[in-house]
Amino acid sequence: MAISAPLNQPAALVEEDAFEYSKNTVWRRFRKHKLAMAGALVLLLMVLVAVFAHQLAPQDPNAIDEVHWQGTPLAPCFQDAAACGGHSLGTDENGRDLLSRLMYGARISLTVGVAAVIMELFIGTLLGALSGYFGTVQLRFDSKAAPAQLWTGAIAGLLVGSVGAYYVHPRLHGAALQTIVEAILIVGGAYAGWKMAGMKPWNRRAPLQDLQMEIPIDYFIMRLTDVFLSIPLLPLLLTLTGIVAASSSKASLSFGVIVVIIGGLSWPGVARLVRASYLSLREREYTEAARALGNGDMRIMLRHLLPNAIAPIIVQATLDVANVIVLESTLSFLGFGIQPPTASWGNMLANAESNLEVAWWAAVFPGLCILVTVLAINYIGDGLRDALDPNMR
Amino acid sequence: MVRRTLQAVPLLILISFILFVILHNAPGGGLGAYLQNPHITAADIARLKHNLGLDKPIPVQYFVWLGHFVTGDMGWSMSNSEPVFNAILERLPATLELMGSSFVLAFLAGVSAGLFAAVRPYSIWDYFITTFAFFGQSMPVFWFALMMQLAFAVHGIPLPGGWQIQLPSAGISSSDTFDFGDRVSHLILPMIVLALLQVALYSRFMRSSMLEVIKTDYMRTAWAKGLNFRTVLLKHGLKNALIPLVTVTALTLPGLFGGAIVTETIFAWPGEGRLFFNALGQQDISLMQGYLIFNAFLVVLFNLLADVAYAWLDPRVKYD
Repeated sequence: MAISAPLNQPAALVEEDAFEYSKNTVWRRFRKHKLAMAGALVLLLMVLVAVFAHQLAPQDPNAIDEVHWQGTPLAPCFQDAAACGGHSLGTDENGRDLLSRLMYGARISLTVGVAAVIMELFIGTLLGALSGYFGTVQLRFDSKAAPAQLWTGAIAGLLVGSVGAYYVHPRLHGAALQTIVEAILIVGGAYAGWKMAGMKPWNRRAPLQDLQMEIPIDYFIMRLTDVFLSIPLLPLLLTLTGIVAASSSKASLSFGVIVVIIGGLSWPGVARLVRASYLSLREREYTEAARALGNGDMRIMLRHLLPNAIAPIIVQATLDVANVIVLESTLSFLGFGIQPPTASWGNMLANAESNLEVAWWAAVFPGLCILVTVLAINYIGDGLRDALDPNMR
Repeated sequence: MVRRTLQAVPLLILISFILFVILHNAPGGGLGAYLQNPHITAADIARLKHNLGLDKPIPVQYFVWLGHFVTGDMGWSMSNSEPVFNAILERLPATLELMGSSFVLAFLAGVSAGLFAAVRPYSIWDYFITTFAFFGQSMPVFWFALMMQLAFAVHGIPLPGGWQIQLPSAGISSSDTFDFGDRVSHLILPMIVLALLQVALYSRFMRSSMLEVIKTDYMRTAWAKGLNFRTVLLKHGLKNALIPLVTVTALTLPGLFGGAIVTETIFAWPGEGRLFFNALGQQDISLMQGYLIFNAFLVVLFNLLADVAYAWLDPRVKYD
């Protein structure tokens, strides 16, 4: 017990650190934000509807009501649904039940939103963390590296060099030239592989003396981020989905493709955010302490820095779910997103446009669903921002 | 500042290279428009490919393209049968008309709403304006456009006395002759649709920026000097509160340019957005490339302008 006393002493320092992150505190602050609570309720409802769409939907979302449908959309009947074939919100221009399609559409919109944001978070956090934590990495040959590691590197280098030799062989004229160039490629490849396998990140504060190579990770990642932040997102998304659609057919624009394209292009915001946190966090004493205790870079990045950088990431991710839902519905509306007959709130509106004069209901309800969901998520994001970090406002 | 401008050049080159690689890996790689034509045989495609240099490796093609680009030749648009540069230039006035009018509307509305909300924080009006801003930010643009068409173009809003607000839903009737009234009546709906998001953005930023300014010492001094309400708020407050808004404006404007695709498509507005959307449908690679680079150029340019304007307005800010 004698040991525990000095360990408890720095408690005063912890309190000085302004905000607590105990779960209870966050929840108490979040609860005070009434609109965020309302948003959470609405979203919960939406999620339940999406999960149990199969059980809740009054009809098959793709079934055409051949009994009542006469070629024009059936009007909604809010009071007595049974009288008009059970379409309480009416049908679309193909005679499919609007309410059922809305319920199944919720599935698509919410899952695309969450899945794309998870992908965006993964890429953004990884790149941002590498960029902010390492800055410029100095690599140096470690003479004490394990022989097995070095030999593996050498063999890999040999293989790469051989492929290169095979590639240049028909392009070189003269046996002498061929022999020399190919020998250089193969031997050089093996040597480079040997050396690279033995490279280790070196002390970032050490003076530049006999180090072998310097990789400006931060510089590369940030230039990549600049590029993707400079191209407006919607045209770029349309371009990519357009290319996919042209390569086989529009039917190839499946759920997964849309998620990968949206998630793969919207990470720069997260990457910048994470990088900024890591840049300041890596200078903190506890990072120094963790390093002094012999923790590896990966462990420090994940176990020591990530929990301290998580608050703004959560807020950003929440708001991004709302953004992605709007993006997906916009793509689907323009015909370059989720393809019919799969119902998505966006593609339900695509046909509603031409029927605007005869069927207002087909245009109003899907959009209302998008608006309500997005509004709810935005309010939740606002509430989370207040709850997680009172200084951020 | 000079260094910052020079940094923009490699960035733009990198952007153009990445876009070039993406677009030219598309099926048909620049000849997509011809692939759908049944009268063009595989031999024709091969000959076209050779003549246009599309059979060369992509890096080689890129440098050829870059060489043309810096001399003002952005390629040939197959969907419009004219040079890309001309196609983009032709649609510019319509887009600028729409963007400009909606920006002026949004800026005036947003700034006054934000100012109003900040002067009486936590009043009913403040809650109304913040709620409106939240709605504006959450609103899917295309649905708002549909609703506006439904309300004003399809049915019309009846007014007392037998009058009715009825607006045209799309296009311009007087494309050959210039008819001011016709232009304006067609402009109103797309202008409002495009302005909504900006109003939301500007009012939020204006509110928080003005709340900061109101707390400052120089505002207290101005009040203490006995200056009247208007002088304090407009001359001392508004002027300073607008500074951060300049940055926000410069950063959002080029993004709206890209966002105008939806509005222009729905309202059949003959601008850049619809040009791009048509090119997309026909896989007109060179026009898409031109449009995307034009937009990226605007983003980079406005980023620079934001920095310049900020340093100019706030002498405490210095760039090396």
